[in-house]
Amino acid sequence: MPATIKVGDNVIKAGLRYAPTHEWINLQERSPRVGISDYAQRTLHDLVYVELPKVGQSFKKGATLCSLESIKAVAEVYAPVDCTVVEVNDALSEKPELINKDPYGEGWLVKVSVKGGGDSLLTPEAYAEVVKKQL
Amino acid sequence: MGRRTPLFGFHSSHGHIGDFVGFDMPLWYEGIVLEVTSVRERAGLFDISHMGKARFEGKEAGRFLDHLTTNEVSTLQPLQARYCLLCNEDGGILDDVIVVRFGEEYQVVWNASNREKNLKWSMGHLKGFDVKIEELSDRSFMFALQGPLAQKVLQPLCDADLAGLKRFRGTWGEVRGAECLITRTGYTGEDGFEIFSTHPERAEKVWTAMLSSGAVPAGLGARDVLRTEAGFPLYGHDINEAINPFEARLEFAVKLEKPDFLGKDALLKISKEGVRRRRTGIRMVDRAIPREGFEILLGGKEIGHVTSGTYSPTLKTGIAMGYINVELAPGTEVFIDIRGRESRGVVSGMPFYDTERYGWKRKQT
Repeated sequence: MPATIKVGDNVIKAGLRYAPTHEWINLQERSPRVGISDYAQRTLHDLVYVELPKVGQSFKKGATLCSLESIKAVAEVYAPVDCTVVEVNDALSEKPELINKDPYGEGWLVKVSVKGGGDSLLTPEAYAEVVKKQL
Repeated sequence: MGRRTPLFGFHSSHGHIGDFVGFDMPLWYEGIVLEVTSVRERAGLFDISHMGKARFEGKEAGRFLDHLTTNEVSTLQPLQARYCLLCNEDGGILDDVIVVRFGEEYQVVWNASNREKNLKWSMGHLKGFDVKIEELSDRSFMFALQGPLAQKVLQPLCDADLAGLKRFRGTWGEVRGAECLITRTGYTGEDGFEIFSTHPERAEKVWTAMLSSGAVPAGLGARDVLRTEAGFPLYGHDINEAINPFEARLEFAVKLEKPDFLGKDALLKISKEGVRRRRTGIRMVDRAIPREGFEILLGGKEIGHVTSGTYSPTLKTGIAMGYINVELAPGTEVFIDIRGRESRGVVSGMPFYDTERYGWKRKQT
């Protein structure tokens, strides 16, 4: 299996699960990290502020997990699963551009403990189809 | 599909295209922050061919433009440029424009959003004047080369002497086979040039030459941030027909001593009576970005609304301008309601940046 799928310039990383609203979650980790996809960071572009949730906060799948602000717009990030936040990526408050530079790596947003709701997440291949429709 | 400039091919293959008042324009190429920084520190190149350009010809062109605009036009020297306003009979701003004098001919550059409106307005007041108006917008190109290195970028490409060109003055010069009008003007606060030519077939050659000479292509996203940092109003956001020049702090462009011009009676009255609100800058202290339409608060009370707001990569904070109904000294603490949260800012003079470090008046280092 290739490590990434490319749709146009957009990179979709293998091994992750995706929400149709462009978040990813790494269910292979003990405390899965959550972030936004390469497509999402390209669309938002030039992030300048990130407002992260607090550790211990719980979210229903689809609820607003945090907001990201770029020069041009504000975007909400939705919880891809029912979850509780166990850690936040503090580096983002000083360097929100990490999300633009490395959306699947250093640009992760939070680590969560999953409470459910993971069944309908998309495989990288299925998410690639979602991105294709946007182009 | 929107309207396109002669450079659309370049924009679509190198940039992120978006709609701007009906035009398919580049919003950014590599990134807004990088493009803003390039203009403040080096040189950036904008395609502004979408802007309206009209030529006013005839013996009475100067007298007509004196009548049509609030500033003095007929006193311009050949190849001198001036910022002028078009106002309606109530003193409301129809548009802000740059007028350049050639000889007995004048060229007026106005906002893309007002192209049709202004042409109609101008035509409607021609009666009694020996003047002909020619629209050049779709038969020309216009670029803005902006930043402290703008002269270094352009000089090797053209035969005109740019070192001797003062601000708001123009010269003719040939760039890559295209005869161009080069004026030392712009909308970023930086030193730089606006380059106009009626040879759209040469647009891409001129553009590419300037990129090879060191300019970074910059989109309308960066242009909007740069003009906000400089404190310049944008038509349709910070100024419109319901706002007069005194409210907008543009009274420097209103010459009430002129014998006659459209809107003079209303503006005379406004200048005597004073205004209840003024365009004011606010620099954020809290980490938050003000946006158009947000409420401005003082002591818990709404005193006005934001008309333009952005994150400023130069100041590394949010900045805004808006109309407030009190005159507050710079440094006064105000709040902006940012999605339900009262975020702290202070009243700021404009430009927002330190003019000793940035902008065309900066101290040479």
